[in-house]
Amino acid sequence: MKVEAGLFREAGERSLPAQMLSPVNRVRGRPRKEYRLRIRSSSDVDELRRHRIPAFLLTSEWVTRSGYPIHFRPWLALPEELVSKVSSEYRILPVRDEDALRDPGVTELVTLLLRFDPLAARVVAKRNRRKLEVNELYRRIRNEGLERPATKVRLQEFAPAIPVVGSPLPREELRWVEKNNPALGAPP
Amino acid sequence: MTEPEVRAADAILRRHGIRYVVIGGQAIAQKAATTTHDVDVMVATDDFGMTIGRFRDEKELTLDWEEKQLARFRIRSIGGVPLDVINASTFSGVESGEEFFRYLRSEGSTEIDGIAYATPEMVWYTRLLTKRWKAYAEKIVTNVIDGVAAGRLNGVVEIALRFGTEVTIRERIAYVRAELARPDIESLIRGP
Repeated sequence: MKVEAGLFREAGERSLPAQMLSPVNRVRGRPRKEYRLRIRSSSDVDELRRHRIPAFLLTSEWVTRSGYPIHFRPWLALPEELVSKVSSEYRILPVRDEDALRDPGVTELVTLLLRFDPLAARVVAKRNRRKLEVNELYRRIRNEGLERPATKVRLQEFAPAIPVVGSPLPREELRWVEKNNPALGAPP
Repeated sequence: MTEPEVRAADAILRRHGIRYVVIGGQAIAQKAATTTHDVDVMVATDDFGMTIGRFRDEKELTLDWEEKQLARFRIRSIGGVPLDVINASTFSGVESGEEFFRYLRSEGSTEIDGIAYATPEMVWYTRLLTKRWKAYAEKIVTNVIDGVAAGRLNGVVEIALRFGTEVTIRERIAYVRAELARPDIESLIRGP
């Protein structure tokens, strides 16, 4: 048995564009028609967000602007209950706490990066220290169960309450990663 | 596809007639989705000193810092993207740096758009042989999440056997495999 979420249109709300809805075979005896969301572009994601569906496209441009120059294929971050309701060519990053996707800032970016690139998470945290919300970072990491990767890149330096799970990478190696990935800009 | 950073580095290296292979993240980018912008190139041991000397006088480059086997320049025309020049002897184990470079060119790289890129096995081998290998192990995990087959780790062992570094490499590969076996990583590799 597993719990699944559903998407419902509230009174007065516009429907999503038809091309984003792909009908699932109607199950006999069930009165409502079920759809899967088809997400093919960043504008589809914007459309979902306009409909208050907490989908978020994590792009390398955002990470680069945040001080860690990188290219990667975008990740579509979705509440984990929604994952089974979506078809997409994007790589999907399931997130336990959908609140993290409502209006993500640097704190949420660090949390998302911890999932697949903890070194990037560390560098972004360090280069945006003033914008980090320490209590939120603690809460997000706990909610997503990311204590191990957070420990690996010593995020306790930013949010000391994060429980230590596993072993951290040597400080010297983390310093090297920072030195080895300078923010883009004019050469020194 | 050749990234603009690699194209810029290639133009400078060609102008100076330096033999090289792209290694590191830009080489992995030929197979995986994630890479940083910096360009790492490995040069033959016999060419290393000459390369550093010429690059110091190159107008398009600024020397950032230098170690015994590695020097970092910044490519001025593209916003200061780092260009790391690495001496092949760093990874040659019981063989000479020249032999390692020859192996890299002939068996450990593929040519795309006229530029030689190291294979993922070769990149992982060099990453695991550095003193900061644990941080680089994280990058290998990210590469596997991005779709580079974990089975390529077997190829890393083969390279290590060739250069007599297998004891070190086997131990470090075991660490990478343990990381890849973490449930949160496995689920990302598998997909929803």
